[in-house]
Amino acid sequence: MADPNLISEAMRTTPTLLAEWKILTPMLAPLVLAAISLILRQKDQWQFYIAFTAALIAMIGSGFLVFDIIIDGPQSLVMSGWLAPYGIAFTADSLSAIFAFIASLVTLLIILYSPADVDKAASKAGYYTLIMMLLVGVNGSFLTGDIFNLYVWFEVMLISSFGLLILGGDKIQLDGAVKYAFLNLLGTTFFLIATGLLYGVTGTLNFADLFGKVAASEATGTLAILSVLFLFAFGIKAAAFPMYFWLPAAYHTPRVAVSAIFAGLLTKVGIYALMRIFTIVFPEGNGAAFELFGIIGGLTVIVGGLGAIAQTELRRMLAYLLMSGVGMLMIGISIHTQLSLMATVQYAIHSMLVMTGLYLLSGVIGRMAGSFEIAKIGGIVMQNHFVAIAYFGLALAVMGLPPFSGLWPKYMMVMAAFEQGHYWLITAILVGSFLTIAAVGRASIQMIWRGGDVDTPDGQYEARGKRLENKQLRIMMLPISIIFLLTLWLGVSPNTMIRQADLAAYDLLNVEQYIQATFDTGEPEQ
Amino acid sequence: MEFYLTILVGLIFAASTYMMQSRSVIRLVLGVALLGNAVNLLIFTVGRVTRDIPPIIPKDFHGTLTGIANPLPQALILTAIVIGFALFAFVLVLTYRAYESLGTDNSDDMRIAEPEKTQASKLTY
Repeated sequence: MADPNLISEAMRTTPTLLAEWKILTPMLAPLVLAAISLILRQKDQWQFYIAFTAALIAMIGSGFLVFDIIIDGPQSLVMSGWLAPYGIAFTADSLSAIFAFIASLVTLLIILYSPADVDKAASKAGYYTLIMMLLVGVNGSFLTGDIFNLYVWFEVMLISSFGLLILGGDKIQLDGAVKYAFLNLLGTTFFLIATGLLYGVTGTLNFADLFGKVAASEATGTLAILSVLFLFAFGIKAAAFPMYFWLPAAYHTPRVAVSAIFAGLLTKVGIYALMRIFTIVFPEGNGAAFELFGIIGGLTVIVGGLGAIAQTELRRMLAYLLMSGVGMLMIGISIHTQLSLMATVQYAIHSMLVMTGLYLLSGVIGRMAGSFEIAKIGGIVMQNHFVAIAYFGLALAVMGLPPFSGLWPKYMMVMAAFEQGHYWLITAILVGSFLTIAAVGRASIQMIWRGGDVDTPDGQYEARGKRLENKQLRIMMLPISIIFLLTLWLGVSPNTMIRQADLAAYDLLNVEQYIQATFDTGEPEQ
Repeated sequence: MEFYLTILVGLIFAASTYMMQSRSVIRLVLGVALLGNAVNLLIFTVGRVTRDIPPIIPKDFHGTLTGIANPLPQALILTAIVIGFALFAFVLVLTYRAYESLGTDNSDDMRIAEPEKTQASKLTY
């Protein structure tokens, strides 16, 4: 028999409690139900309920996780009875948990919208299964405590997004998918290169273990290059300035529900990975990385705003607005203080909700007008007040105007930049906001208030487009109304969000708890 | 051995970068496939390449073996190969379908999703 002391150094001697598995619920529930839905793919009327259940369980699970972390600090579970750093760890702190919660919520809302947008054929072809697998990949990325495992979750997410993107197989979808597929493939390949080399330098892949080993390593030159490689890989994922071309090329091509889930979740996973890696693996930024973040972020905000003004297609305009938001998040990571990371977390939550809402609403508007060309949409307010009000609210939110949720993170971000003396970042944020207001304002006047398409004289109204059936409209407006109320609530009474973002930023900057949680998993109680 | 492998990795990276510069999508596919293999070889090299000592811990030996090839990177590559194979199969089919329905494999001519001139692009506001 081997020495029992030696075993207890690498393997846990205490049984795994059922309660410890709770950290996996947000990822395990959709995974199991996706497999079930694949088995039952011929029963297309069941698919919706399976997917709804999966997202609901994931949401409730991650909700409980959020509360557990507030009370007990970060939670961790290492697979197969190993101890960290030998086994694959899942570790959740306040940031992971709240992101997983919002991602599950967004998925739930999109599943609620789906019956209006997804026909029987697409449902049989696996639409709901792919949505669930996308959620698995996203939640897995948020909760994992191991960098190679993060790569695997990225790939799970990527391959499901490929499937969703080409579902239906229109010409335009294939065209968008070619660009999306190649650039994202390149991004994950670079992530893999950086991960392999990081293992070569440090001999570990566990985030908690990397923290000490990277700091102690003497290969500072290699590590500086690696940090830039990670920035490049996740920059592609997040659609930051010079690496963003795949996003506006692809996000307007699939069905609206798919655009919405992409907009809500995918870029945020890139941002999450940047936040995680540049606080626990490279807390000093290594090399010029933090200055680089600022430059990339500032340029992304401005280029996104300019792109939004230049677009005449509603969903492509939204794609550039999404990109502009990514720039804000990059700026937040670049400033790297408690306040700026707090603003980043808040802005990410706000952006997940509002961009999903706007994309879903673009589906309603596109159906009503029969076109996504802004010039051909008009008179929404005369056709349906409810849709017009929802659009108006979400437009204010994305511009960052009160009383909606965009105001507070933007305000805090400017304050954080001011405290650190990054005046050009403040300029970039304000110029970007101004461009956003101009783009969204111009589109709103045309779409909501003008009587018809571009040539309609002011003051005239011509009834056009299709009247939607009430039942369809009700299905589509339910998730949008929920998002509208949420963003209004987060804007009017931001305390809950600020408190959670404060915790998340604290956990990011003070990683001791995260590390302790990972290494203490399965240790006997003291 | 590592030295020669490193040079080989560099060469494959260079070849794949060259391929990916092309406008032809089929060359792009080949470039991405080459890149994936270059990465796998790179990680393989990072974990030391040696066949003299098997990575088996003798009985009653406590400690770290030296001079063995690290088996973990090889396990990582195995995962990466499987994932890379799936993605390669997908992009191959995607490229073929795109070629069939768009009638071109030149990425400059694929402009359906992003038309050069949009009609009614003049918003009067």
